[in-house]
Amino acid sequence: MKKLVTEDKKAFLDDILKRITEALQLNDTRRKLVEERYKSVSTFIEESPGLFFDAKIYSQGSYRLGTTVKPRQGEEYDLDFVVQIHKNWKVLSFSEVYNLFKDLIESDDRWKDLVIEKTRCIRLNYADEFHMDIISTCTENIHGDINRIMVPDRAEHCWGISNPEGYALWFEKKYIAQRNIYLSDFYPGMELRAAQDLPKDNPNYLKQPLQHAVQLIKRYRDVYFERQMDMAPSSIVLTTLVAKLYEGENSIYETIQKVVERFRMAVETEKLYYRQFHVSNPVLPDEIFTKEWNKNPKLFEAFVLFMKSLYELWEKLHTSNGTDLFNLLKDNFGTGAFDAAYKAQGLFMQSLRDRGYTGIIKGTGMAGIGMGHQIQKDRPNHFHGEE
Amino acid sequence: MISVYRQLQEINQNYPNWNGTILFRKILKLRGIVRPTIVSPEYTVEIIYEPTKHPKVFVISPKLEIHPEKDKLPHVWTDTGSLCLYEKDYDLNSDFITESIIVWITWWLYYYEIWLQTGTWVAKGTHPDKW
Repeated sequence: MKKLVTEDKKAFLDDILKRITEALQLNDTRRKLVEERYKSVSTFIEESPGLFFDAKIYSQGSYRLGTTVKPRQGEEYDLDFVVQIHKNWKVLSFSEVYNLFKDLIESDDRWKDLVIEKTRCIRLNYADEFHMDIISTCTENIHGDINRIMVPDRAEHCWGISNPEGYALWFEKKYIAQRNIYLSDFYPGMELRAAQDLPKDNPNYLKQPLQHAVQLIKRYRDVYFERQMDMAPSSIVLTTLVAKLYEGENSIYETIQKVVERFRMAVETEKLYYRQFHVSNPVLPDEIFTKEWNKNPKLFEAFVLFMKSLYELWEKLHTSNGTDLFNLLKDNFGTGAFDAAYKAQGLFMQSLRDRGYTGIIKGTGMAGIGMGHQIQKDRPNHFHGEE
Repeated sequence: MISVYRQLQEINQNYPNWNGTILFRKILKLRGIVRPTIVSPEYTVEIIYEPTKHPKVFVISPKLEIHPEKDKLPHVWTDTGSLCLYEKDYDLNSDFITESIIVWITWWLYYYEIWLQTGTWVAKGTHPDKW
């Protein structure tokens, strides 16, 4: 039996949380812009004669994973791309590859003035709240796993191994089937979504709870560590840990609830107390994402406290209602994001009313789905105002 | 026109969250408990209904609050404090209250709760710019 999000606490929370992530990620217009720019850069690179002819260009990091989050004030979305060539890296120095790539990009008027040199990559600095970082890399072994690449490691002055595409595939394997998403039962008139896998640009497409959870936890980190960003855990640490602790929950609220519970259990088990653990790369186990915790144990302590506070927030979301609930969401994810989310829910409800999906439950007066014995069918109205 | 007796009968039969009395054989006074969403408080609401007149609808408790950046409630008659639920030219008298006023109270409260948090009335309404 279908319901509306107004009738079910978990669905209400999932709906608002989902809409908060929508307020924080690149909007559709910007995403289209990114795609267009990515296409024109990649076509240009692939077709240019020389070292990069026929190179593979693809996204990595949060843009690839679908977990981008708007940085807090003044910063831009950071979108990461890889250019991968199938050449023998053993006979090429990384600075040679880096410089040739920079020269290539700068040889075209479209990008010449946008280029900024970063330590490991070339940044294309667009004027629309985002920049594209492109790292030039070589396939590790053209006869082996094509996703393993050699990337410049400037600190060590040599090539280092990486596997961003392998990581993305690992992350996606953690997904549950799209048709099981808890919220899809609460969006009447969108049955299509449940029946088939929809392309990502379809408005009926629902992202995975795991992706929403990562976005929300990253945002919570940005708010929690606002005044001490140097103590904040990196996005790759959070993303990896959340995905490792995820066991296929189909709701956003429940995903974070279970993740923080499992984290708590794990930490408590390790508790001679607070014995430090590490987060490593699931596709390159030698790569430890939390190396700096060894140098500075305070970072680990801050991380444990951060996860504890997330646990407490999740408990409170469960027990709070009305203004208390809304204040928790505002304080921890930002007023702007919450307001946008709540208004979007209201507009969505209005569209359901207009299409005749809504009703009122007799006995409680609760807004609900417009069918069933205990339902008074809705009658869309205009609220009058005084002249 | 539906008589106040018939209106009350319909409420007594199907709407256990509402109670009513008839005054002077022509005025229907209703009191109901309405919880527009699962995260909302229970609102006590009163309707004073007299055929041929615009019904008065008041939220008794909890007291309606005003968004910090606003100076008055949206879609409320300033003189009486009654909720504005429909456009002036709408003829109510041929409908059951349960199909119109009582339905719209839920949505008024739903949109009031959003307004209280965000300062925006996102539902359809006349002169929404004012709020």
